[in-house]
Amino acid sequence: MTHVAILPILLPLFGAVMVLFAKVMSHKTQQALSFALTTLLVFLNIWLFYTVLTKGGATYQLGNWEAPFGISLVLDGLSVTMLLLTSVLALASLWYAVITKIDGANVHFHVLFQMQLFGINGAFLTGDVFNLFVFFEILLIASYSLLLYGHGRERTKAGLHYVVINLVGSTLFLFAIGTLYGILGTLNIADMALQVSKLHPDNVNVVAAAGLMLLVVFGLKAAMFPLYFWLPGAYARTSAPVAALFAIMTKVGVYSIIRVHGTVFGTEAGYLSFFHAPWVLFLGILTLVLAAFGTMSAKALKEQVAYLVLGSVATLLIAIGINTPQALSGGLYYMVHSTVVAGGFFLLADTLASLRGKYSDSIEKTPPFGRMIFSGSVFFAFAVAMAGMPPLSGFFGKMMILSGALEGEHVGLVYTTVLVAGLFVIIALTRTGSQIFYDTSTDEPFLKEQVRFSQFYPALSLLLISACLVLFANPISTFTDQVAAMLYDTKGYMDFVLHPTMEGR
Amino acid sequence: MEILIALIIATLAGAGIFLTLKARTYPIVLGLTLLAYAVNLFLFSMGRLQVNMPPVLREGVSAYTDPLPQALVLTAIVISFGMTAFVVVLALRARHELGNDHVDGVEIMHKAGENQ
Amino acid sequence: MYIKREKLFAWYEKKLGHVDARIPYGALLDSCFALAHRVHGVLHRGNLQTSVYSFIGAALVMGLIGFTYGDGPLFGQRAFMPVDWISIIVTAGLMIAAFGTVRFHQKRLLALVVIGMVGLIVSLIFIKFSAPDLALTQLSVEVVTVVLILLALYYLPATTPHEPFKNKVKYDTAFAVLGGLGVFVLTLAVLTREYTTIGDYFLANSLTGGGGTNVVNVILVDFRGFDTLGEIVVLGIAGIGIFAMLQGLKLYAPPCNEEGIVWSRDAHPHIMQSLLRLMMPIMLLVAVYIFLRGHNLPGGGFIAGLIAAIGLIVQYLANGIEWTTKRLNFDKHYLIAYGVLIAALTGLVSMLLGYPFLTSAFTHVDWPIVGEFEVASAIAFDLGVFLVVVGSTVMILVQLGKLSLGSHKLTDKTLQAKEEK
Repeated sequence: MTHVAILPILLPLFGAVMVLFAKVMSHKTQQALSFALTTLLVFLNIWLFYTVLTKGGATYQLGNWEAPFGISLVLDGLSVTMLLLTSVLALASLWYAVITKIDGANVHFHVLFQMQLFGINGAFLTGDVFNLFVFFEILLIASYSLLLYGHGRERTKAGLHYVVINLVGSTLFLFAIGTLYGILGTLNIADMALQVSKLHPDNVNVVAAAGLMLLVVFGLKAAMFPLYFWLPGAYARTSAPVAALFAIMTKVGVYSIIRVHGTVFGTEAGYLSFFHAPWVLFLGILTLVLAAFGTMSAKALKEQVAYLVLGSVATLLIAIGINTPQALSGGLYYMVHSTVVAGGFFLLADTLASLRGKYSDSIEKTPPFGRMIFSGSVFFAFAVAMAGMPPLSGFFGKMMILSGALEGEHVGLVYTTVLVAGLFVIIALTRTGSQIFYDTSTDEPFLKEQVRFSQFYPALSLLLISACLVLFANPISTFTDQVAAMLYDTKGYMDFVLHPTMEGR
Repeated sequence: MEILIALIIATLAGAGIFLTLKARTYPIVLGLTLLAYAVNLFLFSMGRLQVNMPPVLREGVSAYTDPLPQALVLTAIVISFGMTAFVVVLALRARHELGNDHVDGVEIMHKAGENQ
Repeated sequence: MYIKREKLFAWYEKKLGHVDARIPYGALLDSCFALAHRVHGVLHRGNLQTSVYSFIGAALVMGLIGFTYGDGPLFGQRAFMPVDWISIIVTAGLMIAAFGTVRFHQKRLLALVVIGMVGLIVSLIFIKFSAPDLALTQLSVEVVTVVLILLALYYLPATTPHEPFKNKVKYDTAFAVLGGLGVFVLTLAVLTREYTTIGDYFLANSLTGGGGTNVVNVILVDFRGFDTLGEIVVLGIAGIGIFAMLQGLKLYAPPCNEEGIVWSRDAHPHIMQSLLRLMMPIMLLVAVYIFLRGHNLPGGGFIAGLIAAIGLIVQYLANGIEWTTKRLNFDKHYLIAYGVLIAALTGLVSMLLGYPFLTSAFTHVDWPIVGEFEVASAIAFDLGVFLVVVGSTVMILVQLGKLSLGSHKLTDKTLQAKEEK
């Protein structure tokens, strides 16, 4: 019996408890402990990734109750990618939090951070829809606390909005789960797919209604139009490491659509097979347009990066909506890229804000400030990555998605939106760059704020990962092609979970 | 009987939605509580309503109601309790930070003494 | 062209020389930005209402659209249960209470009392439809929630002011009615259809596989114990998050209620004090009893935890924060930590024996007077649940209570300042 699948969940859980017990120890010990735990998590996920690559995935039946009666965990190519991505991003944000002392003098930040990882990892591994709800609640309540950490007027207001809208969302989640259970009689995702394949034609409408409501719930997390209004406020007004970590939170929504809708309404679903895809496509396109407008209207850099995150998630939604394996493969590549770059961009924006003193991160002319050339070059690199221009990874991701779009429908619409939105983003970022770095006013004296150079390291390491994505684009895209093919093999998933044999996935 | 339950759930949901759309934190808390009642009853009723068949195994009894929705609702009740507590304290925090209990911190002029 | 180039150059100079390509480029750019600003400004007002309206609207629209797929009828054929008079009266009572909450929501304390009524009726509904565990849980959560909201209401304005926009009430009512209608249709759409469920497996295997006859409890701590673990983590995080949020919070508490009657600042009523001090061991005993019997009869870790928490909280209510804090001096953070640890360790033990996380075991034990009964390892898990529930509930309510210590000083200062004016 191999326990690998549950380790990414158990490590942050026990870690959080350990950090909580470490309350009596010095702050440095707590920081070191939290840091060690997150590093360990990264290595664990690397090892898991390697295991999945060589031996295939695994399922895990909690409590030793067979599927679909017990709760299943599913470790396959997609979940292990998301796990690795989360842990790397978490390590970078934690590093930044410790360097800038945002974690405050008490232990709560680190406990909440580990609990957040527990929730995110659980959401990526679970194969049961109510268990997904529970892990959603865990990651949500941890995120509420992390977002509000440090207090402040704007932060509390944004936090209040974020909390209320998500509570309404959780209520809808339960309505949707309830409806699906009321008709399908099961909570295991693979078993739900099986039941949908055997669905009586008279029940199609109820299941479709539940499926679309569930799409609204995941769309809230994934900031799909018209459910994204909470995002700019929440991301721009919280502390930088938390904002960077939140870059993975929208991906939880995207992942859930791929996993739940892609399986339950997958290739075996008959009439309802991928019925959600056109909705995801059109709403994704609308979101991308509005995100581009938002990027152009942003008055501060953090706000702008928040809209860039929105735009990247919209691109992912488009990739899912196109509904071809090639587009999905590009989407997976782009997901890794955009998460890493967005996280790093938030950290950079915060460093810039500290460098510019009272001007913080607003997009306006300021006197020259310390380390301007260096931070300007880093900004340039991030802007290129985020806008999807070569030679960084965004370009390859978008290229893969667009070439996948050729096989799907609505090619013209997709191409126009993605390319025009990309153009607008480039324009917006150019203007930001020139306002912040190029167009300096000389009436006021040089801003003398100092930041330790080490503050750049977390952002730079994330940028490095983006560069690696390009260098290893070929093997990585082969991998994402495999994962995408696997995700379109609903029958395979059902057999994998419901009738586990020695073969992996 | 099912119509009565549906009526109850619908009323609670409607009342909850109405209160959640208010612009002050306290009615929102009440609204979210009503929505929680509605969804708990909904989830519970998904096991189809049975009278006098509690899922406690006893000698000689063979008919029980579906126990799974009950377990789900129990989990949901406790989770929403945690969330309610959180949002109530957040409302207090917002009162402190924003100066009033409006969700956007907007100060609307009213008769003196009504706003604190 | 090359031969004619002189003429072309001259023509260019005359016609187009003064056209600087940068100007239309700049204008185009600016108009792009202006468009972006305008669209953006319309949608993003930075307020919560936009999000909530669009969310509920999206949910309604998507639900409606979902029902158009397939050609099935809206409702199924399943027969309804017969209606009896008491149910009709209870339904009417609940609907009146719900409407009452809405109608009187501006008088906040009254609305809270009415919502308490709604919660009680929901408990009754759970009892009627064969869910004793749920009724107990709903009841105890209700008590704690009302205490919680009362503590908060002390610092919030006692009334909700009227909406400044008259039409808003109409929009809100429209949304509420549409939402209620949607939920009504959805509920009936499911209740009129038959289904087969995996629930039968749990009924069949609860005793033989889980060692308990209270199937709901066995599901919670055994079959779906992982969900319960997640649930207590949520409670724990809520407690910690609330603790963090209340750091440095100082709130002004009004010295009198909305009618100008001054809140009494005297010591706590003697009757309440003595009675509740006597009752504490009894309450804790009840909690232990409910805990131990949970696996086989309605009860279990949650309900027991809530009862114990209520037992502790009423001590704070009766005797005051300072008195009780001196005596209940443990750091509740550790209760939560131990609770989660115990629950997680129970799961870990089975891993060390080669079984998946959270696999439970049970044996039969024969005691002289009590007789033969089953003991399941899930009881250790339930103990973890118990500790977390007690720890987080008491922590949340005590932290809120401690606010009053700071706020009374603030109130005194404000009153003094007013007097000096």
